[in-house]
Amino acid sequence: MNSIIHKDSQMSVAFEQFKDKLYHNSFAFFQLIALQALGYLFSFSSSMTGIGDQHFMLSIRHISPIPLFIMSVIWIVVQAFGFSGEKRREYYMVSNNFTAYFSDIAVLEIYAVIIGITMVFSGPMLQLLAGLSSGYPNLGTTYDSMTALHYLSLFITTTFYALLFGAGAYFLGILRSRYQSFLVIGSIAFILLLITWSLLGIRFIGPGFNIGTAGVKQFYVQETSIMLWLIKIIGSLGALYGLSWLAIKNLEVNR
Amino acid sequence: MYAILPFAFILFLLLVIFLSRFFGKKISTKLSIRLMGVYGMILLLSPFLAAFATDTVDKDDGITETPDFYYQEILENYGNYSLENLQNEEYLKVIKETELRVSTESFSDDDPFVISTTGLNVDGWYDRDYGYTMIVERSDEVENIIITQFQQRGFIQGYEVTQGFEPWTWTLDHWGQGAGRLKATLNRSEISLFTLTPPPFAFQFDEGIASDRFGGSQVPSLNVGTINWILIPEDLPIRFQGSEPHRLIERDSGTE
Repeated sequence: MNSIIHKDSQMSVAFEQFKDKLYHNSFAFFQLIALQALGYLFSFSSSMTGIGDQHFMLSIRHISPIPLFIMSVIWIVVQAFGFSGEKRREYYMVSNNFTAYFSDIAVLEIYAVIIGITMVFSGPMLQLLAGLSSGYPNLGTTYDSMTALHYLSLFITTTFYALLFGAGAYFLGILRSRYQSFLVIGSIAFILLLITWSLLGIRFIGPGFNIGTAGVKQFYVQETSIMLWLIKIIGSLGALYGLSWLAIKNLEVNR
Repeated sequence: MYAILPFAFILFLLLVIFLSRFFGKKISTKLSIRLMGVYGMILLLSPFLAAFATDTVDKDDGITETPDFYYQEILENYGNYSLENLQNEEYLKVIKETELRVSTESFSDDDPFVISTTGLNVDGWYDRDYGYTMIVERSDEVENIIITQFQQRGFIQGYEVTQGFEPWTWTLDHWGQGAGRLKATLNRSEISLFTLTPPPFAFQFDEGIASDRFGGSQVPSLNVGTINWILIPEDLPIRFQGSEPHRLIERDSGTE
């Protein structure tokens, strides 16, 4: 058995592993459905604006699929953590670090594409659910004014954002399985480094300088040029993948 | 509000990890794949279903927006308007007509008929978006009290908000011999609407729209006003209770 497989190239072994992981990890689909159902539920309570007093009240509910996206991101993060755990790799007889790494990343990319597709269809789905569930009049949707290009950009952006979270979680998971408890010390050191960097930046560069989640979000989300955005996203993904590969390269399998 | 998002994120992460440890072995691979297939089918069909199942507001394309505070304009130039004028006014909508029987003989100048707006709690309404106006007209053409309630038409993105208004309730109290009072009760109007907004990523590369979409949800501005036009018989002595004087116009159609 082993001899037959060993004739194959590493890529084809990785591809076999990828198919196998996709199939045997299909409980993830159940999790996705459960989480997205929760996401739809939260989407309905996203935000509300209104005017009025004790005699007159006008409220407008803004339903937006952002909670759905957050739930999907939670899903891919959980999956990435799961894949990066070392126990999964013991299952494969002919696995080495490269095939494990490659198949993990391929599965995560498929998952990200699934998230992208579900996000594209979340608009009609929300319209359907809103029409069925609430008795309120619908003021009309901005979805009606979306063109095919908007849907395309929705698909691409959500896929890449989800993949970014997945790759980040995978990298962290690899670090965890490699360095065990040192990861905690390492992350504390990293946070301290970031804080010091921010403090120094504020001291020497100016008050506008700050590193935070808002700044990171701005870096990706407020980029309207598609080329620059692709460079940013693919650069970040490449960095995360590269770091994961560096961490996994010399990792002892079946430790 | 957004500050709790990271905590909620981590909480859900832990919850999902915990639940998948718990349920992971109980749900078979085949069942998961089948469920995903069903979910995918529903998602794929949702555009078609949404086209049939949703009822969006029937939008009137020929809307002429009502001028701001139109009801106040009527209040100021009430002399130019009559009830028939107002009923045909395009900016106003009749939401209720009440007719109440009253016998003119039971009231005298010493013991007049009372029109009461106490308990309405309408102090300080002038600055708000919602105002009310009461116009009392003496007319020799009517024998009973006829109250017509108009609502200024208000639109939010093409939806006419006016149709959701609860009209005032006018009741006639009787106590003792001849004494009577017309009393207004204000019913609370609650209008709920919803809009669907796509995630901002959808417009990420559309520079023209991007600036609008990142602004967040906007508060609707709306000014709506109620006009209660009360026709009373000419020879009915009246007294007012609880209403603001400059919101109240009494006119004698006989002298005009």
